[in-house]
Amino acid sequence: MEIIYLLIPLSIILVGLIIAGFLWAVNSGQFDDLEGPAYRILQDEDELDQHRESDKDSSK
Amino acid sequence: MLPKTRPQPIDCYHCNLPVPDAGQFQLSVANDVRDFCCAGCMAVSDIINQSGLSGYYRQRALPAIRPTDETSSPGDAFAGFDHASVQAGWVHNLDEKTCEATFLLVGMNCGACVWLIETYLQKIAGIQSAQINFSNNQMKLVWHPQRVKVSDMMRAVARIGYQTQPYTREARYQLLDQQRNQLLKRLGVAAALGMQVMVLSVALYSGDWFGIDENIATFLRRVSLLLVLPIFAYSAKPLFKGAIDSLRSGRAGMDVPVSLGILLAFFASFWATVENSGEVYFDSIAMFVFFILGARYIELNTRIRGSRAMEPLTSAVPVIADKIVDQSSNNTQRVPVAELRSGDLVLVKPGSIIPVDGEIVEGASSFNESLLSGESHPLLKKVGDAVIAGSINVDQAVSIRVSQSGNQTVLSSIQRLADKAAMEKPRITQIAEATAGWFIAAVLLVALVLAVSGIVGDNPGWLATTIAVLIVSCPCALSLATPLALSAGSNAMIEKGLFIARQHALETLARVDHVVFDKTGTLTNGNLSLVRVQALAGLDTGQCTVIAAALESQSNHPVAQSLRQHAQQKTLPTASDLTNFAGAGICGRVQQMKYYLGSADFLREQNPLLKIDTNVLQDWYQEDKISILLADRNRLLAVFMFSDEIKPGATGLIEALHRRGIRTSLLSGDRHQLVNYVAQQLGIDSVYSECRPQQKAEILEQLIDKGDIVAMVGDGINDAPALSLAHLSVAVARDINLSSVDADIVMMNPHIEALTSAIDQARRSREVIRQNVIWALLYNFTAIPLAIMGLVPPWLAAIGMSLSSVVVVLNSSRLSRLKAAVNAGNN
Repeated sequence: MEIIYLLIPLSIILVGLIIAGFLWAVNSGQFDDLEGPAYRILQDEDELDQHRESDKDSSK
Repeated sequence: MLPKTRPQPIDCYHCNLPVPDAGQFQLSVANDVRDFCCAGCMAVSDIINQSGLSGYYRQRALPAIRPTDETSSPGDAFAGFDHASVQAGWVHNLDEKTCEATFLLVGMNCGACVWLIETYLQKIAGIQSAQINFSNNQMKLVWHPQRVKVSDMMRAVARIGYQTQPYTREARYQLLDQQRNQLLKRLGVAAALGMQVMVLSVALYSGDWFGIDENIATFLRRVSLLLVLPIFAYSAKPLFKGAIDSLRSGRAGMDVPVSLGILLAFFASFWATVENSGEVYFDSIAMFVFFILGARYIELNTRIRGSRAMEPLTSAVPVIADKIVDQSSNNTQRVPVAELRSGDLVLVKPGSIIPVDGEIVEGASSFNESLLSGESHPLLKKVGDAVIAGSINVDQAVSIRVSQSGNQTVLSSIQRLADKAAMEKPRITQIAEATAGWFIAAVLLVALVLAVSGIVGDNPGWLATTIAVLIVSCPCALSLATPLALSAGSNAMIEKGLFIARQHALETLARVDHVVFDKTGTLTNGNLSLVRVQALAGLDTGQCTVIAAALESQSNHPVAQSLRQHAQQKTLPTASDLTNFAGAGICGRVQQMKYYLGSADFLREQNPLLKIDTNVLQDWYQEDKISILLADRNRLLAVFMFSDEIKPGATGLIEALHRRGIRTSLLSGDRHQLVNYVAQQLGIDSVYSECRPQQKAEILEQLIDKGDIVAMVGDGINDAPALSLAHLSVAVARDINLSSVDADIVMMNPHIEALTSAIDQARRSREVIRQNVIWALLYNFTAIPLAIMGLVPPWLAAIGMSLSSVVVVLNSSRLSRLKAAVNAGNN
């Protein structure tokens, strides 16, 4: 069972990294808007792309 | 001739408001012909479709807000934003070629709006990125100043039907955001470390059962201590601070036993770890802190949302003003309002909003102060009179000497009050906290008795029992019960287009048993249209319309708007000596002749000599029309007939209210026949007609004295006294300008039938709160005696505490699921 003397410190380092990542995310504003992106991901951008493609087509 | 009956009322494709004239505004969208209610909606929709963004109409959850005239034809209003002095302190240079600034957006109401604005802007050459934060209505733009101007970008947003203005970071919102982020960080740390502690404690507990190597057990304990240390010192800090604050003010707040439990558990465990003997409670501490912080976080978010609902009020004051730099030639320069100092002179054009508090030094005009007082009749002011920031200059350009600007104005002090109201804890939460205070004091006493008797009686289990009592009695479930349910409830309301402006609104709405409607604009469409003009003597209909329009040229009443529209093509003669009798009529001089315009009673009252042949009038009366008479000194000149259609959803709404045991009343300033007609059509219980604002307030007082819980639904303009008396005021916003911010609930769209589902939602929320509180009390009252008897070890206490909170969370989340079911049922 001596392996836990290695594994547990490793897991602590991992947790430290996770927390550092989380704090960075909060500080850089990733949690500022919890509503907008939820809608945004559902938006279908196919049409916009079609439109862009047709723009390209017409410019050809 | 206008069509009299229409088989099916058509809703505007863009804003879903009823279309007054089918076929007047039509556009072919994706091979279908669509109808629009106005030129503004049509123009916006045209641009959206031409830009290939018609997906917006399929994705949106709520109809768009009808663009105001200024939004759809912005003119030159934005040119001022290109000035360097205006951009100072707001536009930042990222590097030589790119700039960045934050804008406040008005008019967004669902996620599809975010997508529409972002994609539309990103297609404009020169804009590098557009990022919108939906929860606080801010938009961050990054652009190349050489390729695109600020005014161009603002104009582009206006073209698709939204309003923008510079967002200068306001301290109060920044503070709230900081507070929330701080709490989120503490919560995140507690969660991440807490999970590790749990894992280790599972090993320790199973070690207790199946045996464990002593060295490994010691190691695990020390690691747990290390992991709990940040939770104790960082995450739990606000709890300790709260406890100290409440002890200082001499109250037993919820934080006191919570802190005591944590302190006791931590130092006992710390000692046990160091001495290598006795129990450790690290897992309990971690779980405990995490759940409490979670509850606080949800509660804070709910309050922030309430305060944000007030933001449109801020946006009422312009950020740019025309400062007079040379008084002799009236040369003006556009400067930011923030730069104005007391004593500066400002030119305010007709139709624009007064940017500062001040005094008129030149000119005279009438001012609409409805934003502040709710009174929509413009007040005439001349040189020497004081004007207030946020009021609207109605007809003449005036020069104003600045007395106060920015944070010192009357408007911003009113707004601070409103802010305070929004940040107040709901009454129901306050009651819960007050009861919890006594409960907590009792728990502390019990814990003390247990500890003392344990030490005196030399009972080795006293520490575990005391900690268990402190933890198991945590009123977490009790403290979560209300905020969670209220938050879920108000979220569901926003999705239906109802803004909760005051925290008490949801609980009051659930208790309402009498709904009072103000007719104009609430149950009817509110846009009076002139359907018929009948000349009675001498003058022809055209002349009469022009005279009437001239008399009403300074009024904002729907009658005046409709008259002006009809006389639009002709230039109006100026009217002088105008005297306005609120809710009755108006008299004044046009081309040296004295005229009276108003109801028959008003004319009789004003001019007793006037002969009015009642038989003639009878012929023109129609139940569903409003008729207004025009007369000069000695004869009746014309009858104007206006019609106002009942909203399609109104009948259903009244029926639904009656089904729920809620009484209804109609309170209106219009004449008996018309009000009775509307009430009969809808089946409303009681009717009060021809009421002046003061009478409305008196009637409301009587209802309240009778013991009814009264909700008043109005357009928030003419009914300020009555609205403020009612237990709950609901304002129906008619366009993008939320002039009706003084209400408890603001309906963002005119579909009033949403009121029924709002009441249902409120009642369900109340029911869930009741269940939550009963459950929490039940849990505490069974668990505490067991803990006192020493039957509950601390780890079980922590699990019990958490489980009771989980039950509350799950029960509250039922609210959003119920909502989905109701929506499905409605469709």
